[in-house]
Amino acid sequence: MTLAATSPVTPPSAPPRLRGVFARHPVAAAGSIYIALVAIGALAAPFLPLQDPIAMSPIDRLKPPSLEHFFGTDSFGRDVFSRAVHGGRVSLVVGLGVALVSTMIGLVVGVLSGFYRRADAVVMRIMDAVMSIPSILLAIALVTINKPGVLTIIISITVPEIPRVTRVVRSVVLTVREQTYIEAAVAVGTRPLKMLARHVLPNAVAPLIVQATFICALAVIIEASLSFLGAGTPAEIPSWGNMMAGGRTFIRNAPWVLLCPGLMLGFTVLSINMLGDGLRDLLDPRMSRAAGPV
Amino acid sequence: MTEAPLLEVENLVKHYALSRGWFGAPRVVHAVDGVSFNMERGETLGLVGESGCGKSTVARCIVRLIEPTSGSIKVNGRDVAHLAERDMRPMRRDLQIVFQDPFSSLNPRHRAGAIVAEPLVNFGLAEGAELERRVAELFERVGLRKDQLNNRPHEFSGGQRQRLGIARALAVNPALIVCDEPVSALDVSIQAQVINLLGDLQRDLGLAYLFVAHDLAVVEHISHRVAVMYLGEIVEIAPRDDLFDAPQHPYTEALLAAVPSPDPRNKRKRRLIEGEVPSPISPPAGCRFHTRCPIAEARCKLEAPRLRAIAPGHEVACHLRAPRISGKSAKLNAETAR
Repeated sequence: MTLAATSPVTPPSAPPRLRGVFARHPVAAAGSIYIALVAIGALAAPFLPLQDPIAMSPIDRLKPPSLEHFFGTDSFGRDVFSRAVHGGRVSLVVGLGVALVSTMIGLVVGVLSGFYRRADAVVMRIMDAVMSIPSILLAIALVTINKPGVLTIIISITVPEIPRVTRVVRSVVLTVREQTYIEAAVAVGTRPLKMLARHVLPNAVAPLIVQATFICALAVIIEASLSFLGAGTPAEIPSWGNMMAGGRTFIRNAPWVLLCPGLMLGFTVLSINMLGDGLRDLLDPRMSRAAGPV
Repeated sequence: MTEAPLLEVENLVKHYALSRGWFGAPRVVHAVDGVSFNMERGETLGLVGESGCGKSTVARCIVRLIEPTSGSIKVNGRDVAHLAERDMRPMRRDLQIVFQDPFSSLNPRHRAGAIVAEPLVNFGLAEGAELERRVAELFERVGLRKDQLNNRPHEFSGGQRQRLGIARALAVNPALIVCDEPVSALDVSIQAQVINLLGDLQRDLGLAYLFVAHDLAVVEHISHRVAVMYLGEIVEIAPRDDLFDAPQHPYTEALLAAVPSPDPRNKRKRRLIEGEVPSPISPPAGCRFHTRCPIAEARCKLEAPRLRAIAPGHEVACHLRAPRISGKSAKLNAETAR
């Protein structure tokens, strides 16, 4: 029996079992499987029997896909498949990093502006201002004024994504704080921090997870775009963006150099979005009912 | 008799500012406009009136879920009307509230046991096994089963949820529970059970209730005294029997006349009031009831009547029913003021 007030907070209805969800949501299942493959590849890349992604071999330059080189070779004779698998590391680190950091910061800012009317007016205008700048331009600006590197990229992509999270959290806080059970908690002497942790934030978890997946997908695209433009990952680290930039010149003779990382990028983003859709339906009871036979 | 009353509300005012126009003066909703009353320990004061007359606002001001615009609310002699939440928190042990809607007043994500435990934990009154024992005791006290401790609110019926709300309010042993229409969301058969539970708790624990309702039958059953509100003001306050047997204010008369009586011999004058409640944004000048009053005179439109005693403990705000200058009523005024 867990009576303690610190008993873990779970949604009112037990979540449906994972297998049932996948059966109902084959799209989300496909997305998860693909992401899992890319993630495993990226994590284990140094230990897999892959060719050296950096070693150049001018004799083998621009070879078409074959059994020896699944995705062919690029203009320096480097194995495109190995580079693509390694490139997933950058994309996933940036995607997850941005999703995590922007969610955390957005959570704090959103809670503040949802709770304090005075902060709200100022904070939300700043957020509007940030949102009004195209995120990729803002990211380019931030990257150029900082040292190049993965951390810089994560920060630069995070900043324009913060308002997104802030708005979601703020709207949850604004809705929840009008509930009578919040008044009831005030009446029984619940302190503000506990109020937040026990009564307000549990309602924000589901929309935040969904939002985080979409931000993750967007961050992967923006990272690739930055690298493609030469403002992102340094050229010596393989990433899908700078691989595509390198293949751009040879698209007529050797399309695989550009297409292979491009397709991996496309499928990864698509998969993350499909996973996000599935999570949204799973975490929102109203949506999951609507998803059944109408 | 030097002990301060449990609750002294004096000249309580709550105005809500609406957005002002481009040039016009700011518009203000006069939700509560100068309400005063006292409550003793173990007493039930019924607070009745139409929807929108400000009775819930009074209730919420008293437990400081909203801060009054002005006036004082003394609990055991200490004014809580403008305390900061930090200073208010210890006062909440004496001052609890049961809400109208038993569905929205319980967090749907929490288990019943945790909901009742929350006040005990907040005030550091119990922990561990002691906490479990206290919660189980409270469950028993309000007629819930111990095996329901781990259920969530949606697994309870409306009446059981209201019992949960009552258990939560009881947890800190308050002296006063503000009941904000605690039964109006329940089925009639369930209403009686909850009312009886409140009655039992009062008998056993010596609780005082400020019982806000619009159902006069319920109020008549449970109250010792009754206050009638109209458009943000108390128009009549009296011991229950006085008020129900001999209502003085024309508005009280009309309210009572509107109650269907199951007893054909009961011949209350059936005089229904017409029209709508005027807007609390621009309440009528003079007596606020004059626009609908069947006996209004010219001066009712000009001069606002004050509450005046016409019998011990029976006060009415009406120029005609409680005339101003007479030796007798002046003396009574002085008596009740003391």
